Amino acid sequence: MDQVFAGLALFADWHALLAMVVGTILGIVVGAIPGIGPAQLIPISLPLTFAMQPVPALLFLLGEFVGGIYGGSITAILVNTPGTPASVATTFDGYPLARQGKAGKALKMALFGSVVGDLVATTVLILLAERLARLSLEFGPAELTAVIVLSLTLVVAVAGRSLAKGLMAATFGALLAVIGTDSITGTPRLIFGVMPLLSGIGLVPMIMGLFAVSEILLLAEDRPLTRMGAALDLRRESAENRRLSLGELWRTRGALARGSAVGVVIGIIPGLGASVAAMLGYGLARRYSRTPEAFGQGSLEGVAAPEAANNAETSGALLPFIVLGIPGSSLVAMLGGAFLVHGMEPGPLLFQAHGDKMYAVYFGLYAVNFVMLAFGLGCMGLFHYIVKVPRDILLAAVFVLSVVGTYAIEASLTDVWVMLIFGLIGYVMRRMDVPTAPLLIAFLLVPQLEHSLRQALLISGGSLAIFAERPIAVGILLATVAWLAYRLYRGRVSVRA
Amino acid sequence: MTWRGEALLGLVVLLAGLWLAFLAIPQEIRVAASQTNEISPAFFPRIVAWLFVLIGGGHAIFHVLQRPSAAAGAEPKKRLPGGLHALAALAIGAAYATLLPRLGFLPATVLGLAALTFYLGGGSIWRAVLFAIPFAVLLQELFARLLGTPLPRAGWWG
Repeated sequence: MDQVFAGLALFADWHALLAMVVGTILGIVVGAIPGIGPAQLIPISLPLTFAMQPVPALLFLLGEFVGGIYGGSITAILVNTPGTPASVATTFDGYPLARQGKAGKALKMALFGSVVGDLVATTVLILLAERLARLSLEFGPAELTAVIVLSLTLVVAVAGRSLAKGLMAATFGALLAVIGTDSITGTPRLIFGVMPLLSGIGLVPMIMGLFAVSEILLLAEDRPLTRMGAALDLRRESAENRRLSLGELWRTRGALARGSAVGVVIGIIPGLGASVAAMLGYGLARRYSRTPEAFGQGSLEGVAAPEAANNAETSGALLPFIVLGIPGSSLVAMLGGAFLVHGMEPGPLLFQAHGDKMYAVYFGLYAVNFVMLAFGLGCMGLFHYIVKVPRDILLAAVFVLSVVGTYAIEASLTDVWVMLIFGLIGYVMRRMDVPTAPLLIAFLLVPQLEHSLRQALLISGGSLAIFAERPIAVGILLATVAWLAYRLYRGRVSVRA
Repeated sequence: MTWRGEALLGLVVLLAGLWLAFLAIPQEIRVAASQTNEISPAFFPRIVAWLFVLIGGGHAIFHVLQRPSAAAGAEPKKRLPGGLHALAALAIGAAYATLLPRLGFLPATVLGLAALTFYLGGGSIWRAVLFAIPFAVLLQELFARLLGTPLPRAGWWG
């Protein structure tokens, strides 16, 4: 209980509150801009948080994370262009509502859906995380190796259209992770005489390059970049069309509940992501709706379910990360970078070492929703201006912020060049349909995987039989093989078709 | 991607794996004779290298076997101009990174921002400059004063 109060005190500090509010608003605004979103905002914000205390830094980034997913729905509704991939399903009914002159109603529904989904997922996270973390302390190196292999397999198998390309990306991430000094023997590995590589490849320059710079390069292909299409102006709508009544909200309760539940479950499974959760949430809402024929024509349930699902997914994805240190998506992996930079290693020991800070994060996860509600309802009339930001200016600013942010980490231009190289790598990978998320997630997980694997082999005297002797490890590895076999079979079937 | 592109990608990954396994790892990771597999620093990199070989080889073979017949029609053409725009944007970024330690933060950032805005937007150069100057000053104030981060200083006349 002491830790709960200590966490409350850390959360109630004005630095933490201000960081959370600014992060959430930034997340919503940037999430609303098509082309960039939390995947670009979080990397360029990471260096800004280095000067902060851990709790304000984490709340700032969590605000961007949660707010960014909601922000994606704004342009989905106003201009039929999702701000983030997670909001694709929101366009199906959000834009038809806006065309009917009910953009305000749709935006409010998306806002309430996001808040409900996030509150449900945060509650599940709080109820389960510490218990599961205690349980996972029973895991030995064999079990931990099996869990990481399963997580990597799940991420790889669903990250892109091709299993082989997902595997290539993850293996490339593994290769990058072993560069530097071996943690067990202290031997330099694959540094090719480049001394700065002794400490390994920097996480932040890599994230900036792979996600921010590569996105700018992809968008640069379509130069000259213009503004987005004309957004619908909410101020011209009637008060009735802007209002979301309690009755309308109550009628979407089933969609909200199903969307939230789907989002939490999808979030816990590594690799699936918010867009899958939103699509599944939309599909379920339509299936169980009393008015399925209204879907696609401007149904409020069709906005509520995917928004509840994509926001529930974001908080749900924090569960395996906090409990086992396994980031299920690239966004959570970026947050993982922030946890590590601030000396908080995610995993079973996180609560023992940093219980007070984790409770502060929990308070923050709840409070972010109230900031979203206040900003969303208060500034809804201004949202159409966000859409009008010129994209050339925006991308140039993001690029320069990436360079300055990367330089600021260690006042090193080498990091800037590393970022630019990873920008090119990320661009080439995406042009070749090779997903970048498995690379980052493997880069973060492989040091732990290698450590556990070598520990397990040390215990067994070099025999792989240790994995067969542990029932949990056997079960997890069998599940991994079964999942891979299923994906390969599905791949063959789709190729034949 | 075309089947040739896919096969080539597989081949490159396969060759990278072989290079790692037979050249890079033996030369770049020193392993003492007493270090058995479980404590050898080369143990995990070898697994990675052979995964490259397996995945790359499998990918290349799969796409060679699945290639469409000549009668199935021509393969889609590549979009080279778009790629050139991306490379040009990267070149501007690289030039900015090169100029940072020579001109110092403020002049280099004004130039970098203006060049990138002008290139991406294709509009007027004055619009780009009018955006670049205040934004560069804002960044300097934010990073140097507010966050206390050291910014690159001019190496030529600073």
